[in-house]
Amino acid sequence: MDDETRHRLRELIASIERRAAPRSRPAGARDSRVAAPGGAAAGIGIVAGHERRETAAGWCSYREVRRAPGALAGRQPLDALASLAPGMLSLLTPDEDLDGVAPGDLLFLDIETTGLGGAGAMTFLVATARLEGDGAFVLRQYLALSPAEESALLVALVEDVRLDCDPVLVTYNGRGFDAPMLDSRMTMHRQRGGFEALRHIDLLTVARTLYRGLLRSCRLADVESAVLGITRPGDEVPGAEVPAWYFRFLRSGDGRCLLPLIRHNEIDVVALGGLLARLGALAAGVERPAHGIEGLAVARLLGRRGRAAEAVALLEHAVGVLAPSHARDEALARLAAHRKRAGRRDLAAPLWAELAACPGYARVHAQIELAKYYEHERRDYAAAASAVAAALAVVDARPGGAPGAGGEHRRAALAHRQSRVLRKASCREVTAAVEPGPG
Amino acid sequence: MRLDSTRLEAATRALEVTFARLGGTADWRTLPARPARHGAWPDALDARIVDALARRGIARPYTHQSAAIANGLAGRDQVIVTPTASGKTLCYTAPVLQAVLDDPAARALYLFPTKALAQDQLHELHGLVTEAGIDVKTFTYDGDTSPNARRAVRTAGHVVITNPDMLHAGILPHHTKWVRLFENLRYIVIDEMHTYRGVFGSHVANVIRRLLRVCRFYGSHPTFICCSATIANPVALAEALTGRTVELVAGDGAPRGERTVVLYNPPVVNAQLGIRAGVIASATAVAETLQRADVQTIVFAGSRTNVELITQYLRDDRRGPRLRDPAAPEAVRGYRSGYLPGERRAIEAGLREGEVRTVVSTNALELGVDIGGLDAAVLAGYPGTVASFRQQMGRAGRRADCSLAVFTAGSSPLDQYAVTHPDYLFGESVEAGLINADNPPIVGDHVKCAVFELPLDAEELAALGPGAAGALEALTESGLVHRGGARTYWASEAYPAQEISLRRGAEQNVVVVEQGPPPRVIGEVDRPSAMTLLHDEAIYMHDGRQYHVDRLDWEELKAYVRPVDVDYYTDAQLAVDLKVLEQWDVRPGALGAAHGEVAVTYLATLFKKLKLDTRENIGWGKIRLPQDDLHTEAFWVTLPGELAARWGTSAVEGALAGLGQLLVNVAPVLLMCDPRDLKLSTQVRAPHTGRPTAFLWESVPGGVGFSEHLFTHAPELFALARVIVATCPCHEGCPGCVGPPAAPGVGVKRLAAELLALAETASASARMPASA
Repeated sequence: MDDETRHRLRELIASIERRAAPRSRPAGARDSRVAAPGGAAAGIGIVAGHERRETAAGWCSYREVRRAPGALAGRQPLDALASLAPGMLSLLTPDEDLDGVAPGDLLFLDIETTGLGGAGAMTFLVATARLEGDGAFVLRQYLALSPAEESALLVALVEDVRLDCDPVLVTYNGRGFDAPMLDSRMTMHRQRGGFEALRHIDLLTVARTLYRGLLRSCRLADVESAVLGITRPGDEVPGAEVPAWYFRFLRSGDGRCLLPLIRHNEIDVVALGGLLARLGALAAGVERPAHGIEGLAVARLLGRRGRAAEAVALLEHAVGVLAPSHARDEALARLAAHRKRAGRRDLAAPLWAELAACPGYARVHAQIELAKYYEHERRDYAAAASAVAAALAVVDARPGGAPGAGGEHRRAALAHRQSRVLRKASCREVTAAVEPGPG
Repeated sequence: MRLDSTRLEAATRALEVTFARLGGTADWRTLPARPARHGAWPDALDARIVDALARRGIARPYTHQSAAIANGLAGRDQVIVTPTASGKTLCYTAPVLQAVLDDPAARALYLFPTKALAQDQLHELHGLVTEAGIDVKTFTYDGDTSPNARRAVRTAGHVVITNPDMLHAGILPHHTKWVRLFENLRYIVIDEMHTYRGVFGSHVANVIRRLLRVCRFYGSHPTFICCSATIANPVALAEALTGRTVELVAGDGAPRGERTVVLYNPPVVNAQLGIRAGVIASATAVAETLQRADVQTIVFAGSRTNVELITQYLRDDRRGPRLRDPAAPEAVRGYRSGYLPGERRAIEAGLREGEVRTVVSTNALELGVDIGGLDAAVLAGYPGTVASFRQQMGRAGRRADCSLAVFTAGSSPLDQYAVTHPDYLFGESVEAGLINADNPPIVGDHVKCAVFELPLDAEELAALGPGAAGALEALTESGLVHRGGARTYWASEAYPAQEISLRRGAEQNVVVVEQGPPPRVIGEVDRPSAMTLLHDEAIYMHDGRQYHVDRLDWEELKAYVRPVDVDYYTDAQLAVDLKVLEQWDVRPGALGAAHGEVAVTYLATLFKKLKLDTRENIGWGKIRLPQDDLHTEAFWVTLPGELAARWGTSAVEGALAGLGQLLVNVAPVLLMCDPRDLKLSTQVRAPHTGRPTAFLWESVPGGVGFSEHLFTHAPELFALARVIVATCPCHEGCPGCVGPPAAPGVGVKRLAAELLALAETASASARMPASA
């Protein structure tokens, strides 16, 4: 959050807290707190296009937004979701049975709560989105204007979601949080849950495979910005501050406290649509990576799914376009590993040689691979010896020795390799000396 | 090998020789044998269970088991009072097995005070369940349960074994994950109920209120089965804990063999200081004698350090024979918290099978851990309460066989009182398990947790106790909750159970290290005492030997000592200073009362070197230790200022100390709290009141409201004290009234009674006592 944002939020908080509590306001005063049908939250108004909705468990607030075909999430058209085949989804989440899943079965979901867990943390805002038959991306948002409305919120949500139709959840960390949280809240209201039992594409897991270490973090805001180019509004409330804003609303009754939360929640769920469309298309090769980092990320995923040929093509491209960096070193190492696995150490060797000059610790591994290549394939023991020596020099120069639990072991293995290579090298010298020369 | 009368006689003769060698006095007595009394299996108990029990060698239940099982089956809440090893597990497990047979969805929750006990019960239950061939899944759920196993416990466990702390912080706040348990909960078992007293017990009573509220939410109405050691008020404690009316099942039907009990008081080794030969040395000598007579023995050693010391001494003694047969299993084992579960199980098995001949334990083995019966129990020092004393003694004796129990007393007034008053130890139980479930600060804590767990309405508020409404007001003001219509909702990111501990923090001790070489730990001393006993240059007496303290490391809580032989001792007075920070209310009178906020500081400044035989002062030194502080609340009583002129200073001092001791003894009865929750300080001329004043201060930092309650009920407090002092059969004072006499002939008991008479005429006319 930049200074200006912080300043704007602080101003808003101050203006809200200057105002009197709702019950002491003169009758008939009009502002954002219009009287709401469904009484309990009297004095608390309709906010940001939400309407009151009556359910079997009382009233909550509800809003539906249709994004026409062609609407974007950042750079990504959302209607591209329509062309996602089940196979493409399986590339992202191989452990779910997604056979026969149609784009319309995907249920994008994001919830906002007052805490991370335990019976005292409630769900006050839920957004879902679905791709409808006409290509429109339809967002539905459910809001509880007080803790007493949570029960109605859940009833309305389940009415619309139709758990019995077996939708596939698409979330960001929903396996660990959103789905169990919803089921737990339904238990609190003595309703039957079932979100945890649904099939689930958790994009946090996918994002971690793709981007761990390549982005500042794998939080949704960083991933959507890198993948989709989404920029959040200037007065975006960070996730950690969401509960505080809802409590501020509960105390003041001022709907302006909810506006940033409603928008935050909406952007989250739209970003999920965009992310799935983009990542699915990238994984399936329908779209090309926009830059080297993206190519490396997709290559990680495909490599893990056994799609070596596609991964190698992406890595070759990435090595070509990336400037020297950790990312490029990783691309080199992965590419070399693919080639080695394909039995082409000769093609891997130049990559290892290039890596051996890199500043990171990866050069030790590269030197070892080079040493093996020289020793076993080229039988060039002198070259092997110098690669081992270089690796040993790096290990020994490192303060505290080689890193990790295997550090000592690695050093010992290197020393062993060194003595063997040197022995072979000296044998060859002797052999060369005793063999009669030609003629 | 059974301890028959022949072997008992041999052991007895050997002990007599040992006592003669050590000196001191040994009081021998015999508690007669008692035959088993059997009842019948209740008709409602399924034949499969009866058959399974028969296969385990249980053909008929004892009378108390029969009554308890019938109560349980009929859904009557009950408290069962039985000694150790009388088959209480069966009392609560039979109804649970029946419930699961009738309805496989049925669930039970077992509460044990510690994790170790929970583990033990798990083993015993597994045995019974396997034998019965009933599919009853039993799990422990505590801090050691792996995250992967938790889901299975939550959904599949028929019997969930846990402790109050885990119920409070791990289960209730996540009750939505425990739907199966709470919807189908038939039985709540509270074992070792007598351990839930004082502040801890008051917390547990509130946790149970929350538990029952969650049960109501899910539509279950569980039956309580409580088990307790012998205390004076089992029904009252059970009812205070559960909020139900309970039936009492007493009268142990299990057989008991003849028990020989020795109360051994070691000889005085330092008449000036009244110090007796060390309890560790004498207990070791007793255990060693029993070891030679091949009597399987448990030694209760009080502290962990003492466990290690005695174990070491006993092993050294056996070193000879051990060297001859290195393959022989270790016959002497220590047992305390801090040992790994596998190690504990091995020791327990070794005890049952007879390989382990001597086990040295803290009170960890006092509660119901299954080690079978041993031949003899040795108590190294008084365990602090009669209930513990009896439980530890009860560890000796296999069903109908003879057994032997030896109590070796330490030098403290309580030890000395116990060893010289057999009636106190063997007569009617005088100790009550007292709690105050309605203590406002404690209720406040749990109302917080309750709102977190489920929105609160007016009816439920009442079920949380009379103090709950006030607590809720305070919560609302703090902004942690949101009132919406008739209900109150949690409205904070905080997770209140995590911030609220049911138990006070472990008290820190200073470890005494003999520097060697090799260095070894010889004991430990609590922090306040360490300031006067273990300061630099102190002569520290340990187990009857002199040690010079070379250095006290206050940061690390270690004192480095070396053995010496000198003709002097050191004496440092710990200045326990109590300052009144704020007086909240005062009730003037001849015996005035007030309460407020106080700061208690412990500071040691100087020590004197005194010649052993003449007590002549031969030098002094400075003590450089930081001051220890406690910020808390206190209730205080002031004596008339003119008293010193009439009685003389030393009589006033004695009377003040006696009155203070009496009040601090009586206050827990009024407060229904644990005696350890209150401490006493007396000031002959208190700066705050200008008069002789006795302060009763709360040992929990910040206080929990006891002092305010004492102030409000001061007249009742004084009335109770008058009754105690008038009816106590002792002559010059005892731990139960004004304390054991510091010196004979002061007449503290009479003076205290006269002071209390002043309170009766609490009107403005301050009448002076007639005598002096």
